[in-house]
Amino acid sequence: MPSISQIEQLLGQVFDLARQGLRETLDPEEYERRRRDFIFHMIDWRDDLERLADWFKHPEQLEAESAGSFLIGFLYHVIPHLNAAGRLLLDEIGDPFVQTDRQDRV
Amino acid sequence: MAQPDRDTDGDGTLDERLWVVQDANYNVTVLFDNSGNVVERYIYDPFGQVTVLDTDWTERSGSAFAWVYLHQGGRFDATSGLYHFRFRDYSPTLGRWTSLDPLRYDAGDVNLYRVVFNAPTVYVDPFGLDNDIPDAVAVPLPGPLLPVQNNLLPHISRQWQRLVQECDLIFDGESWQAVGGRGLLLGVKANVNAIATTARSLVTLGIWAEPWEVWAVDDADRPFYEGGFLAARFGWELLPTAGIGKLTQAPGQMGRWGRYALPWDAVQNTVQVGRGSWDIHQNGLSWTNGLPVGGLLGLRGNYATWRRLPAGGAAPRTWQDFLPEAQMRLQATKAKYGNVEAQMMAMSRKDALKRLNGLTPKIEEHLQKIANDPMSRDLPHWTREVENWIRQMEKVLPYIGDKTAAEWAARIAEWKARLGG
Repeated sequence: MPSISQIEQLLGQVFDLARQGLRETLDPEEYERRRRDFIFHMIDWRDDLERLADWFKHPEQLEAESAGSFLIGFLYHVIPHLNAAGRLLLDEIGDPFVQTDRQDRV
Repeated sequence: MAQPDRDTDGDGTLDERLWVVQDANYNVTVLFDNSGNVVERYIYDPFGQVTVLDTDWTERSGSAFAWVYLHQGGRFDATSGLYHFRFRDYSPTLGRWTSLDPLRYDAGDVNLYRVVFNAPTVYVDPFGLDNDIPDAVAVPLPGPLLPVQNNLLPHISRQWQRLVQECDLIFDGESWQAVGGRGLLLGVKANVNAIATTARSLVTLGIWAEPWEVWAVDDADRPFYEGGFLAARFGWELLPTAGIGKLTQAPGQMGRWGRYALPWDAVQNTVQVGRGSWDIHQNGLSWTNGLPVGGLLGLRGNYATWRRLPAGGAAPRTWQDFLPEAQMRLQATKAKYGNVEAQMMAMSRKDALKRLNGLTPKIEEHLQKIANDPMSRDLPHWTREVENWIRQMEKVLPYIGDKTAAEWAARIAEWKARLGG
């Protein structure tokens, strides 16, 4: 299994490749800040990811009540990180499901 | 009225919800469990001394459910033996308040310790300020207008009362106030009162214009009024009142007409024998006259009415006629506001607790991260995350009941302190 530093290195390379244009226009210090933030927002929820993967592999391990509590924490924690990472790498990512969710509930 | 769920055995599970029945004076008389079984009863002397009974009417030394809301809904403190009523504490053993009336003489009683004119079976005083009649529909004003409500309007009402006492035929005024969706609404009603003082009765024949009736109609509802837009409403009412002597002996009672939006017939000894109105509509004039069938029996709001339909003689519309309009309005509301049902759905206590419990591990984890690595570059991110989750928690606190909310608020305060440190 790759170490955290390996993953961080890989994520940094991904950011560099996707943001070549930004690198040329931004102050190096600001670019580095965004690059580091992107890596942070992709890494900080790794524990949640592992727990989710475990649960999906062994769904019988969690009862519905515990799974609910875990998912509430997961969504509150992970979604803002992914939103932030998405903004840093791809600028704005639209939410195609907002309207659908409303229609589904009506 | 229900007691929020409570943890009876301290095992962390909220396992009991109780329901109460109150009599006309808001005295709690019976506790029910969730299945509708009586679990405890209460009887009172006129001044609020309570006796707790079990389901078989056998006396108990105290409540088996730690129930504290008793006489007129006041909160009973067993240690002091006093009821708490917001502005003052009341002693059921002395049958009087333990401090002066904060309204002083504006409450209408020269004895500032006396409770509701010594007639607690007739009046209630939920604020510890002034006497009220329990079946009245009271609409308190918002905070900044309380001085007007508590001082100016009672003063005006007392001046009218003085006129009522001194004259045989007067014009009487009635101020209306209500807090509606579009702010404070005010109206004026002018009545002609014929008072036969010798008969100790009051007959009121009122002719009135009532802006409130018009303003209270929401714009969205106007198309549903027969005849279209309601532009104005004028009305009449006939109100004989028996026992004016009783009214004049209780000066505070008339003061309350100015303090709250109350119809005349909210006064217990007044019977409304007729009421009608002329409505000026977009499409013409219509009128309605009514006799309160149930009024003499004490069942207010049951009218036999006869009506003149709006111009054109259209037949009264049924619910089927309204259906297409209702469907259109529903669609328009959905288009404007999104999912109406979701917006109207209040968060349940259980859902709120789930959110709190789901967020707690995240907060603890991140506070631990901050404590372990206080010089981390990621510290600002973690701090902002915890602050955001705390804000989310504070939003759901109102849904979990006062006691539980206080416990969570203490926990949140501790987290904030750790974050600040």
